[in-house]
Amino acid sequence: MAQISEIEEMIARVALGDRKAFSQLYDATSAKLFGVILRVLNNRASAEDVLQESYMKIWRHADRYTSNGLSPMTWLITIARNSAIDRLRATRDSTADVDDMADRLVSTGPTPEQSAIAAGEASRITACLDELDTDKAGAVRGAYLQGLTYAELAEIFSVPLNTMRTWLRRSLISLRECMER
Amino acid sequence: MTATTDGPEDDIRAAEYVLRLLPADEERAFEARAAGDPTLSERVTYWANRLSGLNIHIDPVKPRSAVRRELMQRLFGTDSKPSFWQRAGLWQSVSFASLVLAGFLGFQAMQPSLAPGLVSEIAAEDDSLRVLAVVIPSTHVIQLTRTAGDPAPGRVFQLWGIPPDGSAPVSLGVLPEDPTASVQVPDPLLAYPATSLTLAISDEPTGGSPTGAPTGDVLALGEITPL
Repeated sequence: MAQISEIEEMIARVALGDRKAFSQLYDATSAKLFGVILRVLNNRASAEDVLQESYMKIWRHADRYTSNGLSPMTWLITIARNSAIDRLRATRDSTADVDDMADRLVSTGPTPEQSAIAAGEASRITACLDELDTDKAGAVRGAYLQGLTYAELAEIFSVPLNTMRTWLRRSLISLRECMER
Repeated sequence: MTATTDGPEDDIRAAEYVLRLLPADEERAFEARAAGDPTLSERVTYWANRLSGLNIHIDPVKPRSAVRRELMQRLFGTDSKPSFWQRAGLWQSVSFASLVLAGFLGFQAMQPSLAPGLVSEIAAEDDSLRVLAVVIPSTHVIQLTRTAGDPAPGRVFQLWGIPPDGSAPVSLGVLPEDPTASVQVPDPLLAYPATSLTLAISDEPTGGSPTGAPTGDVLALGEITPL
């Protein structure tokens, strides 16, 4: 896997329409993105299609990256994950939002704090989830990694829908407190 | 829809938005609100960056090389020179079933009295080599279309039929450079029902296996199934 700064550089060149940089970005990041998509969709053919769709969005919207405040892998993964979740919901019902994923990433200027976060965030979120009850941490993971809805989580954990909402919101508050420490 | 005051606070709403827990209509309403509210959109970025730490637990999975070729084709299309492999990429964008159907209908057009066909997809585990075989039972001909992979320099692909009873593989011949070829099923294999045979492709020196049995790695395997 390429260094964060290298990926950032590739995205910057892709934003200028550099096809070679786009190929390099694909080679450096597609396996990770495919893993993310497969976790949500669990179907190789759909996942391959969504992977292509994700990189088409990345090609078209790379110019928005510099202003969105996300770390480069987070930006790429967010596009892949949201595209996969949209596909999942579109095949499940017809009400899914098919808006361009890049548009979901609302523009904000990066702050020094956000730049510093990237390196430590993996260990921090993991440690903070470990402070929650197993079920509650599992629900947060299921929502993030598999795109599960409140209704699906409620069913999986055999609790009423409103209980699941309360659980998850409280878990998010605990996570925030933990991450701010 | 107006912003609710009795729901969870905005920050938790932002986390729910990032997790994709909001129903579609609320998701859109939140997006519209966040677009005009830098504080709220900053919280979205905060949660997206923090939660993305969970991806560390997802193992990378290398997609098939055909996915990359097809992507480049879809994005940049005819701008680059149209090589055979790009055309092969197009073929791969067609589903296996429709490929089989196209091959079958093609043969049917040529041979109106054709009996139902048999097919096999002889593929490497990682899809680095993929050959589609259509078996014409009435003539014992196998029509081959290679859609992925080519032999190493100075090497060739050789096709084999493997009987179900453990007897030695029987050569069906060396595949030509051309991606399409047809081979005649040799007599020893006609003793078995076609669907009991396995087709295999091995890596061999130029001219094919010198011993009459596979000498190099078996690169790809395929069962024969009715269409």
